[in-house]
Amino acid sequence: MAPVIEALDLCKTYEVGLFSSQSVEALKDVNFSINAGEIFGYLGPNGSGKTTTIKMLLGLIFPTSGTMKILGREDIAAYDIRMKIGFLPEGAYYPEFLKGAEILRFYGKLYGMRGKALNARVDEVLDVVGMTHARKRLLRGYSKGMRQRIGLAQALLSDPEILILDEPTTGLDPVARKEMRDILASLRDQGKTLLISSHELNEVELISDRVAILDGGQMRVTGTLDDLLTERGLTMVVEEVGPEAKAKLNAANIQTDDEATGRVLLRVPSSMSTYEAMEACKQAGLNVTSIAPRRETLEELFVRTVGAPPGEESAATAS
Amino acid sequence: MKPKSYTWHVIAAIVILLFLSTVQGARLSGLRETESFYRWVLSASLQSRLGQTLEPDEAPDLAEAMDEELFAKVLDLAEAGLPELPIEEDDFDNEDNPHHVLLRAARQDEDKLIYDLVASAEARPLQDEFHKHLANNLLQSAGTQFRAALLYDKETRVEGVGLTSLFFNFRNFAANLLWLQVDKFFHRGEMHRMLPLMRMSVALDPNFVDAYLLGAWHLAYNLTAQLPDTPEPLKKFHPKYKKRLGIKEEWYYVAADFLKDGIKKNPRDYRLYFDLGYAIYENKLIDHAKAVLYLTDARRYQHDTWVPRMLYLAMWRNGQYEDAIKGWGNYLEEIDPDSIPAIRFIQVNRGYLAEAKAAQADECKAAAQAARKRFAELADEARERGDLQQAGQHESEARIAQEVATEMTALAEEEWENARKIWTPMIQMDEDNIAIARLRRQKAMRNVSEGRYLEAVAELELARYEMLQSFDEISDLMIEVKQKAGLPLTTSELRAVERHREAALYETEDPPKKIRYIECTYLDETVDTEA
Amino acid sequence: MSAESTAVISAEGSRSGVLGSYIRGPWAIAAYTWKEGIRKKTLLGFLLLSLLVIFGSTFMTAFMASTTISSTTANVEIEVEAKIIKDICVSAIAIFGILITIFISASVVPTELENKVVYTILSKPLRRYQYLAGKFLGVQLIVIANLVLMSTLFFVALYAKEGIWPSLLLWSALLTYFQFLIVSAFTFAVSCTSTSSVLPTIAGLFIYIIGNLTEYLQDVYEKGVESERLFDTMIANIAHGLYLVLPNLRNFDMKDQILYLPSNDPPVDIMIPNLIAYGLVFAAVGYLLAWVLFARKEL
Repeated sequence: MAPVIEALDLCKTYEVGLFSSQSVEALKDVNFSINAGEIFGYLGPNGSGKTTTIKMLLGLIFPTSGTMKILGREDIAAYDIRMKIGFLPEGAYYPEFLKGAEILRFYGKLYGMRGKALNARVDEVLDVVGMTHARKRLLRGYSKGMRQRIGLAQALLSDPEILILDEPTTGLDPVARKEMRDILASLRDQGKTLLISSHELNEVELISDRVAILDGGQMRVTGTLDDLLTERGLTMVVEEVGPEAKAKLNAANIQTDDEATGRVLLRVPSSMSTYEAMEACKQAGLNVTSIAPRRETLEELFVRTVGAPPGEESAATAS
Repeated sequence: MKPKSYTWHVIAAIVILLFLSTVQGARLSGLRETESFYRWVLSASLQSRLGQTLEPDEAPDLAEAMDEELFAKVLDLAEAGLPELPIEEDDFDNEDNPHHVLLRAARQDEDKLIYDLVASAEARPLQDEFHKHLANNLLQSAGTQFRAALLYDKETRVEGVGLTSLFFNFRNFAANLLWLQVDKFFHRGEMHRMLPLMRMSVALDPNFVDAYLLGAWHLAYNLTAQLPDTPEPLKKFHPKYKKRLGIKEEWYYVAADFLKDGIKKNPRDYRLYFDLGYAIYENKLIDHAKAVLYLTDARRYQHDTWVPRMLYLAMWRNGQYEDAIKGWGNYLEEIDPDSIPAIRFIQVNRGYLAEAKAAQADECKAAAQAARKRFAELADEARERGDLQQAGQHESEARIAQEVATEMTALAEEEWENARKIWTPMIQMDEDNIAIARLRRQKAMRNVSEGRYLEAVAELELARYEMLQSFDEISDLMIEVKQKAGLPLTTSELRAVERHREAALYETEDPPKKIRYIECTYLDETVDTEA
Repeated sequence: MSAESTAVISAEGSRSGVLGSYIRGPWAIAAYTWKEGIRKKTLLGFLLLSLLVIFGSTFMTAFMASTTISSTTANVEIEVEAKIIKDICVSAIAIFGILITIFISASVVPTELENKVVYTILSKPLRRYQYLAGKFLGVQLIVIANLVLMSTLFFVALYAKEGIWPSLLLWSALLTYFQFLIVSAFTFAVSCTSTSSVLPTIAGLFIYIIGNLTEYLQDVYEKGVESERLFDTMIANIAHGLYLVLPNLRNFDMKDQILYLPSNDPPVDIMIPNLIAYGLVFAAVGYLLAWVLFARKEL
């Protein structure tokens, strides 16, 4: 099956200044494709080019070179394509003098809907995002989470096949995040394709099927979580590790980590079986307190590819 | 497939639209130019009725003014291009010639016809000429209402200040502020400082009609109230007005010119005509004929009800009794059927008409008697020469003159009687002061004819205080009677005699012609033989 | 819109007609712009100020009249007051009307770029020119509403003072609108290149001033062509070219003429349709300019 969204060698170069030839490459040869019915996590530190890519997909800015295809078509601004895309921008403002239902009716009209059908659809999406109770309240009185849900609601109005969400969980409290995740997961279950950009990795990790990691405008890694998070193995917690024991463990390709008083975390490579690891500990004369299977987190992958966890080094990578 | 871009189509559309806007802009400038030409034609036509030349005849730097020449060409075009228009009642000038067709069209509100005429292709060269002259300041009858640039070129000469660049209607604001300053000067009594500001104020806002009205009033009334009368020998001849004027009179004319400038710019505002006719000519310059002329125009345009009343009063004073009676009659019919002044002044005018007829009949009688005497003498001379045929002819002429004299005596008697019949009931019913005065005057005249001079003087004395409007007229009559009787004059009467004598020395104009209500061949003949 | 997409839309059932969908989107945006615009504090401030001036003109003249009243010409004095009221009102409408027009035209698009509402709107099935059309229409609605409000008060003030029905005011207000339309269209075009409303506001004021001064160019031309020197004639020709292309807002002076000329000496009405056409052509130029400038703008 053809991918729903496809990007081929996308480049975006900004000319800085009026006459100087200085240019900034915001995107450089970005390739990815998103399949129907999956949640695609589009990751990267702030300023890595996530929003640039998304704006291109929506025709808000134009690529310097490269092509994009949505539903196999290049005229991504066509009406029928637009009808099938819902978009939630990052940190957008919604007019405060309108009520929840009113703002949705306004957006609905932009889709060409009207009358009873529009009202019915507005009620439906309000129900989906769990905002029915606030439909007659002015946006002025909404919390950040409620606004984000209204944002999601407007993206859902046309019952789109594709949802593009830019930082959907930013600034939400844990409960709201959980609810947002649930909504997104259920949307995926309805067969929609979701593109979620985020710099909050554990959020994305929890729901994404596939991810791409972008840094400095370049695509670093892309693939399913299963493919990417290959490093599996064991973690063992042992008591006191002396320098001698440490050398022995290292020789056996086991790494020590998190050395706290009284306990040390050992990382066992995936090539080593549990039995072999136990044996190595025994030889080193260590007392094992716990053994657990281990899978690599997205954060670790991120650090591995980008060099620093997002948020901490974002300013440096942005340039 | 790349998304289709319409940018070049849109740019092409912009270029086409810009071209269209240029065309439309040119069209609008053309229309505006035509409109100013049209306004000038309208204004110039209406002014031509007032017997005013479009070009002021003093001021040497205006020698090249082209107004009259251009207007004559427009008039030629109009004679050929305008359809026949009816000649209405007041469409006649002083010589009783009907107005030219352009003026009739302007007065009959046929604006569309005039506009179509000046906008036509035939008028194109004239329009170009108009704008050429306007740009070169050769049109003296066109002011800031046509070309704002004139503001700093000509009218106000504010050095270095581009008053045309004022927008947001600030020009009118500036005019208002200047006007408030004028008002301040008036209250401070600094009258001499008002005129330049007034002129600038109306130059900034040519449609500021109230400024024209108030300004003229200030000049003709408030300013002159502080000035002394000028003795006759000290008056100077003004070529522009063709009159000998004192200081006061000069200011009256300045006021009149100010109003006329207003008329130039607002040719259809009745208030300007009214003030010019009533406030200046009627009350200050005592020129009833001109007053009637301007008030007729004031009545022509949308006006208030006092306008016709003042017009009929001016007609009465100007001796146009028949016109006044007709006017008051219309007033009763159309405006106010219960108007007491209308009813009264119809009677007054009838009385005056009867008296005028009687007086003219008396005059005619005297002329006829003189003629009879002369013909009798001629007949005698002829008989002495032996030319019997000639003598017979003169005798028959003398007989005819005698008949006319008899006829006139009867007519005069009848008209005096008519007048009495009008005055007496008026006195009985309302103790009408005009009626009383006229009756006393009539009595005095009879006394004079019977040689009872002292009684006549006494009657006149009572009459002149009864009717202050004609105090001067009756006083002059008293002097005449006293001189005839050889009675001594009072000091003030002596002064008046002296004044009249001096005035007669400097008289430059013929006195206005009296309206004849009685046909009399002898009066005209006498004039002929004397000439 | 391609034939295929039409089919999709009509298949949706609740959406009908190609034309309808072309108009409905812009109209929704216009309505939204209107709702948002009338809540702007600057505009409200200007409007209140202008209404205050128009309403206050009656008191102002009452104050001034104490110095101008004189017994013999009392009937004339009242008319001077009426004239001053008229002048104040005409100026208030001209000043505040144009300020409101410029501010609203300069800000509708940049504000949306700033608060990112434009992202949610332009990601909908709506072309950029449709979005602009909606915004432009919304601006016009606000401008018209302001003008109607101010003119109504002016109307009442005049009626209270003169007691006659100033029906010509309607024509004057109409022409005033078309003058504002030209300024609005060009300001709007400039605002489409900017992300803040400061620059377009200044540009709008310049457009108004230049539009009022184009007749100077004609004076320059007339003076320049008489000159023998090449440089002078060159300047003259440039001035003439600019005069032809630039909108001449002075053409709309007729709106004041209508108010000041006596009713029996009306201005020539053939100007009115021509002025309206003039306004519309320039409005179209302004809008298309906005289209070109906005079509490939990176948001």
